[in-house]
Amino acid sequence: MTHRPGHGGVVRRRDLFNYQNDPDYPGAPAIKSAGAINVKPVIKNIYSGLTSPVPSKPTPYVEGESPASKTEARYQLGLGPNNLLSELWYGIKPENTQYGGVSTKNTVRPSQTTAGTTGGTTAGGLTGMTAEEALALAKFNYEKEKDANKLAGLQALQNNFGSGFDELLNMIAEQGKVSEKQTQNVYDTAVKNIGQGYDAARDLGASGYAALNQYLRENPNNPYAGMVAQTGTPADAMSNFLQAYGVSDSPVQAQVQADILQSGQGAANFQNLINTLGAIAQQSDVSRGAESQMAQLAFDTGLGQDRAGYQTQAENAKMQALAALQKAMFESQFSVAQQRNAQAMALAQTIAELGGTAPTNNGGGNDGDGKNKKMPPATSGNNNGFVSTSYDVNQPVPWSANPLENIQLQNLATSQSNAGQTVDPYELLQALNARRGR
Amino acid sequence: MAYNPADYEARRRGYVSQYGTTGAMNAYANFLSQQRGNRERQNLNEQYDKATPQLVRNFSRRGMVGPNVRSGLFARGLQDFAKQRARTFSEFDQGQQEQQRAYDLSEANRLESFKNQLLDMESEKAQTIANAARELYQRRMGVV
Repeated sequence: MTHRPGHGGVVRRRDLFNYQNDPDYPGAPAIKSAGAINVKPVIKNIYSGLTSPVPSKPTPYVEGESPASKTEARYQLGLGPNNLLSELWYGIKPENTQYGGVSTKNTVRPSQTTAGTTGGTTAGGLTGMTAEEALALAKFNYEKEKDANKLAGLQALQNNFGSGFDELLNMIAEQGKVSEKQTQNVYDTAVKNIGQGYDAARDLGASGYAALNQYLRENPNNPYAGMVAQTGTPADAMSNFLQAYGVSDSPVQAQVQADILQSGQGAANFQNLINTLGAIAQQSDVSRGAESQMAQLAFDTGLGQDRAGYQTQAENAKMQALAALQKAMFESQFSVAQQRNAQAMALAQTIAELGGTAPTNNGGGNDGDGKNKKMPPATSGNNNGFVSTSYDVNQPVPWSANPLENIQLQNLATSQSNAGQTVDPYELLQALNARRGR
Repeated sequence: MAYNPADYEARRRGYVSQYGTTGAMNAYANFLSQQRGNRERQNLNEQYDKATPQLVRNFSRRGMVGPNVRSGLFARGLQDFAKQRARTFSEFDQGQQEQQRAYDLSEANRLESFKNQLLDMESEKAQTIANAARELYQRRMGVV
């Protein structure tokens, strides 16, 4: 767009319908029919030199039914795109006219139906538009309807896609419960095996010590018990022989008694020796019994410690398994939630780009209360039930600060109005400029 | 350490066999010793029986003993002979007796050692069984 210097931002009426300056209307053809109202053409721009925030009123051509006159005629009918401008420009209250103006809900404009995609070109008439504009308009309507369908499909998907993630989360939760139960079962089995193994080992070890104790009882080791040191037979004193010769045997008897005493002392010493050895052997037997009891106690204690250690290991393994399970579940849930948020964000972004409104939750999924919430279709805040994209057909024509753009916008708005189309003139202008490479 | 009852039975048979064999040899040696002692004692007895009449004849030849003759030297000679004979037999008998006591004590010690071997083996067997039980427990728990 080029800005014409010298106007100071003021759009003069003469410029608004100066088709010589509007690239969209080079040599605009004369309008054949302008409806039932005959509008007198105005030659002069009586508002030149005035500055106002209200756009200038379109200045009709002198000859015949120009686009300007047609615009005025449509305002007369109540088909003007802006009620305020209708009142300012022509003193017409559109709500009192045939079609009731922009804000009227009851009026159905023929070209606002879906037929406007293709059929609107003839039904409403594209009089006053060039073939290029008509093609652009048709394409624009087609794109708009496609966008609307796409938006509706995406919003439907947005309302339902969360259920798949909910199902995944439920599967993860169910699998977690199953895994936790299996972990508990494995732990119970391990504890049962630990107990059974302990009982078997304890019985086996006890049987060994029982056999040892029985052997100790039945085989006391004291071979010295019952041993008695015998004294020798006293020697013959030859008493009879000596008495036969009248000799006394007293010295011989003394000798024999001394030998007997010596033999007795030797026997007593030997008896003391075997008694000492017997006592030592007896103590050894008692020590063996105590040793057996101590060994059995050590065995029982060690076995009990083993069992406690195994139980601790089983409990640790259970805790680790549960911790790993929780971690895995969290990671799975996190991954699902991440994907869900990413998809929801992408979907919401796409819908927003198409002009829809994204719901606050993730498309009907669980938002805390476990219930799916259906989102109403986005309408861009209007109340006409039309699923809009980036504009509202009931909104006034957006005016630009660029006078040339304003000219183009107004002309396009007029053409749209004449054709019964509801395309946003500003978007249409952008589309046209894009086609022209501007 | 795995428990194998056959090992302990083999060891027990070895201990019993060794104890029995040694005991038989010792008993036979003791029997021979007693026999030899008896013969020696019998020889001593025969020697003193032969020496007694000669002693009386020697005193009679020198006129120290005879009818109505009883010298003090003869009486003293008979008493010394009787005392020597008593001491010889007493010492011999004591020697035999001490030899027998030594044999008896040796056998008692040997029996005590033999029983200790068996008791040690039984204790070891019980400990082996206990260790095997713990090892089996550990295997069952997957530790070993």
